Amino acid sequence: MSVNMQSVAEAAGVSIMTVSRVIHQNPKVAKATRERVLAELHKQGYRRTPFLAAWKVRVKGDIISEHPNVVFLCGYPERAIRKSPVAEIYRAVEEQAHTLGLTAGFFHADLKGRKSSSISKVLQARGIRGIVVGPFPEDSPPIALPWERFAVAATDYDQDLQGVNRASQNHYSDTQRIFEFLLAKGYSRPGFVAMQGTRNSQWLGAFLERQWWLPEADQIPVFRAGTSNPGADLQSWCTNFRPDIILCPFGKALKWIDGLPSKPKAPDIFVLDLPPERSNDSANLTGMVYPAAAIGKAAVNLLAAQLRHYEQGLPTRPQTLRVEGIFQESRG
Amino acid sequence: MPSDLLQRVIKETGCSRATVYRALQGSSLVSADTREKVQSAAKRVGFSLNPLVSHWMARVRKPQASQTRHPIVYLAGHSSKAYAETPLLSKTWDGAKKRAEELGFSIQIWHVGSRNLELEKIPDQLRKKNIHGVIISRFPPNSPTLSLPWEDLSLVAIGFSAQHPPMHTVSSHGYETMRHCLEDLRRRGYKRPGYVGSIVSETLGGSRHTADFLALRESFPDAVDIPLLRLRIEGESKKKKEEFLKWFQDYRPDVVLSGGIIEYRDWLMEEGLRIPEDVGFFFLGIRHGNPAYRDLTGIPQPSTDLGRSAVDLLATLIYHGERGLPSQPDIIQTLVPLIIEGKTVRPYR
Repeated sequence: MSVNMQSVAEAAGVSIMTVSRVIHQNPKVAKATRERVLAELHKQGYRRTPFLAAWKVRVKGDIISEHPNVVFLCGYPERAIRKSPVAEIYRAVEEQAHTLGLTAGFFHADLKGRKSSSISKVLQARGIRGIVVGPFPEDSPPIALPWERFAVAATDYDQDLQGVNRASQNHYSDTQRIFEFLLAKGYSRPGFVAMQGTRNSQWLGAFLERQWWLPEADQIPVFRAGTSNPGADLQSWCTNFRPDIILCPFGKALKWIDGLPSKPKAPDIFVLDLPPERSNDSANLTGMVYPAAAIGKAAVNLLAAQLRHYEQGLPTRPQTLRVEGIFQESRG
Repeated sequence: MPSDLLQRVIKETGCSRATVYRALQGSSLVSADTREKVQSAAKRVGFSLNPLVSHWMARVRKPQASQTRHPIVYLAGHSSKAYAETPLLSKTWDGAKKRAEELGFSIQIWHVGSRNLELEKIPDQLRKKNIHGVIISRFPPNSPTLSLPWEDLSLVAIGFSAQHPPMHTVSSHGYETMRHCLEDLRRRGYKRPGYVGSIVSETLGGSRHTADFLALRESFPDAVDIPLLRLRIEGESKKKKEEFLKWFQDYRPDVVLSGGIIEYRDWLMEEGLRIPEDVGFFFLGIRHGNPAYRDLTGIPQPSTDLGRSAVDLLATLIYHGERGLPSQPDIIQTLVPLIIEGKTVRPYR
């Protein structure tokens, strides 16, 4: 005997519409009712056909629309990020969305000029179902969207948003690989220049974990920038502890290291978070390139999985998808 | 017009229509060269398959179309007896099973090494039963290396215990989990968390827990001077105790976090310290239903959620037609947010 909605509705004492809502995971159905209907569905032998179910969500007009149904939500206008790794993430978001039969667009959410609630209305009016959260300026007010109405994936660039799925660099395994690489090259006393920020602290944590395995005499204390004259402090740190290579993030710290006297011998540098596109500043550096394209792709995969399973809203068990960085060796 | 585009791909590559479709679906029936040729031609002319429909069609066209429930296999490294006795194993499997049913897959557990299923026979069994989705679950230490027809399978591993080439993996011990625990301790007024790591074996296993703790400790300025303490799991108890207590007396953390052994709590109490009045104890990995872990505050060993996540990830791979070993494996970490309220840390402030 085949199962149908009518028989399930009767047995569970609900309307056919309610059965339909349960199958489509509509949040309007009370938890107790949903469980009763699910149990009845299961008892009568209902099983989803994963591929058809996934396809039906699309043909029902829910997802297919002329407008982009996935947006890259960003606190900066598109032209402002053109030269940063963020642009690379966005490009990958677009491409992967296209591969999966979705469309992606860029959405500049200017939180200083606009309230979160108005942004939310625009997104919903356009039928947007999925959001990849990009970077926001540090001084902008926090975004407060009704996240439960969307499928959401964050990246490395917004660490404050908790409880959402996230695509992030695998700082831990990258650090293991970096050590393997450096030790093979004959370095024995790696030092670490620590800067503020969550991503930097993830590098630092992984560094400290791995450094513990070195001989005690080679465990150099971390250099923490924080005083008024970091350049001079860095110099005395180098003199005291004699690192043969310094791990540091791309940016300011590099300038301090450049300013070190070359005698007797300046330590080599391994840069964490190199920008994905080789520029004049970065082409001659050895380090780990931020895997922006893979991060964008992973973020869309996380979204697509949620959309496909009809799941909206914050996941009960958020996942972080970890992506490995890419080695870059300087030509010199 | 899609058909025009398809015609152009056929013309450009000289392949038949069926080959074009197979190549775009990543079928192993088509050689890697041809696959690449077709894929690049399709990209050039802008022809693409709808991944969801094409996968469905690939299945309905097969003779066993009436069997619409896509079968997947959960490879278990432990015997069914071990599963019955170990909640960690059985709960992980339960999570996978439940999620597979929700999504409409049929899932079966195969216990590797049992009399009915020797390691060498697995590839044959997979082929005979037309199975293309496999979850590799936990394996006992020193298990033999797995060898499966990788390029035919969509694959997900649970944790890092089985020996196999790198593949997409779900694991716990994520940064988010540690962040959740430390935020919880902060709300209870702790300012100086100390962490005791454990070394499981001589090999450089490292520990994500340790790295995540050290990263997050940066937001506890009062605690950055506490050095990392690591003790060998199977080391001599008396020596370990001495080392632990010396570390504790020297640096006086106000709460001790550990994922290793629960004896740390006993040793603190033997020193006359009251828990949680004098020092808190937060355990990472409380075992389900094990009375020795009663009263501990901390997080459970991750299980059900890992099983669920593994199926979610495998479903994604199957939907996208991704088979074989990935060039860049994904690692998915699941948050274990449920804090078990015991009696070893103080209440919220």
